[in-house]
Amino acid sequence: MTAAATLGTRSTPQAGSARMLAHARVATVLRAGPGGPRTHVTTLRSDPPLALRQTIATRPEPGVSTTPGIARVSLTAAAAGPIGGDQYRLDVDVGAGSTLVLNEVSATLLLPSHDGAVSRSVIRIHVETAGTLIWLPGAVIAARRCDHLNEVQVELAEGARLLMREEFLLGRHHEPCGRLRQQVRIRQAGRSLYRQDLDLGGPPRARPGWPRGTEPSGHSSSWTPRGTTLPRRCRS
Amino acid sequence: MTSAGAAPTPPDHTARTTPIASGAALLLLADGRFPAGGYAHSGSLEPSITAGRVHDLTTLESFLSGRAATVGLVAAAFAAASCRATHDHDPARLAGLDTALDARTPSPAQRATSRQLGRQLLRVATAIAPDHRLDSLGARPHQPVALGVVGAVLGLTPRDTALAALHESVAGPVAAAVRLMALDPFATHAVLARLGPLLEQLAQQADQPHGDLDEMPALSAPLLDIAAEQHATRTTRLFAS
Repeated sequence: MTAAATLGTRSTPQAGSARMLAHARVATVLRAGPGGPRTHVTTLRSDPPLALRQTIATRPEPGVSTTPGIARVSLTAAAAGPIGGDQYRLDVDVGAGSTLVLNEVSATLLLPSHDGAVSRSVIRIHVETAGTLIWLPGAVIAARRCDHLNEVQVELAEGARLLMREEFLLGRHHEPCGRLRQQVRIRQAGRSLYRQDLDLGGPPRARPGWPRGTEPSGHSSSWTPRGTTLPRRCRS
Repeated sequence: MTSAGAAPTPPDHTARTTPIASGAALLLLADGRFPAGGYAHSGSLEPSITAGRVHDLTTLESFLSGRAATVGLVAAAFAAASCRATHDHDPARLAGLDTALDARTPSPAQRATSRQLGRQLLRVATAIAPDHRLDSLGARPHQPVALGVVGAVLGLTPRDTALAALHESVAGPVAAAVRLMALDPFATHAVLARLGPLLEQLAQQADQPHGDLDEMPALSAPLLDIAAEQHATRTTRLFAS
């Protein structure tokens, strides 16, 4: 299990060691309507504990505030976790010209299992030509002794737009964090646009230039389409 | 007076006839006095000191080992791969490596610094070892890609080129630390010496060939990115980056 989930190797889920397998999907298309083109959600497949719901805007959303006819979907977790050994997968397909705001209702708490197995989340995103995805996941909190691998794979067609935020909290209040690794691959029209791995809480020397004793309590970053800024109140 | 009457050929200063021995070439390339502009950069150490994250020898050592294991490893892997691509006469691969390194450098300030240093390295290399392979890169390649090509031209192995990149990733900040924090240079060099085994280990890791560019090391150091962006807008600074 641990060998398969090393950073830098593309691993396949191993059902034998997985405690909870979940595969949720959301897809959108743009269709003409009486009031102009609207984004329709064509697939909304929840798989416990990953629950997807169509929602309305409850707070300012960066990049799309003036766009009519967009779709909003919220991801909620119906159970604690992922816990060591769990395998989550989320597929997001944004059709040509459509706009999806995908947010998360709560933070994700990464927890360890008794046997130290690695938990893994795979998020596959595909945005077709002139489509827009605003992805605002909640904070990911790495609890003590957790061991988690987060894989984000994004394919953008020519002219597709993506705004993506990530936020990590290293441990709860006064708690040392476990291990949290992340791989992000963003490709546009077959070209590598962004490729970054992150290894937090692992062996001390693997920490990315963060001096001992002054580890940050969190890390947050966003990818903004050219010419768009993330309003301050949208940052946590 | 020669009986044949042939005019002696003037020495050709533009073509290097004898290759520099690789040991000497490695020393030449890794020397802090090599005029490729590295001395003007602190590798984000200056903004890290300003932010209070580095303030003594212990925090300096932690900064350096973190830097070597993340962006240092990435630079070394790209230098080794560029060296290998040059030995293999594969300019298309070099262009791919340059783009792949862009995808691994999210900070615009760091991208600009890397390309500026790459350009300067190419200019020096063209003067000391003119070679058509140096012209196969664009005018402003990323520094690790330029280092790989220059390493190959000087006859270095990919592993030695990786080690040179790793050495540079920590030796530059160490030299800057002495000027920025008034630390004892003996003590800072002791830190550098202690990092030796780590650099060797990382050089070996960086030397692993990868067919797929997407599988090449991509470990990020977000605080270095943030520090680089903050430093670029600062008006009072000693080092360029």
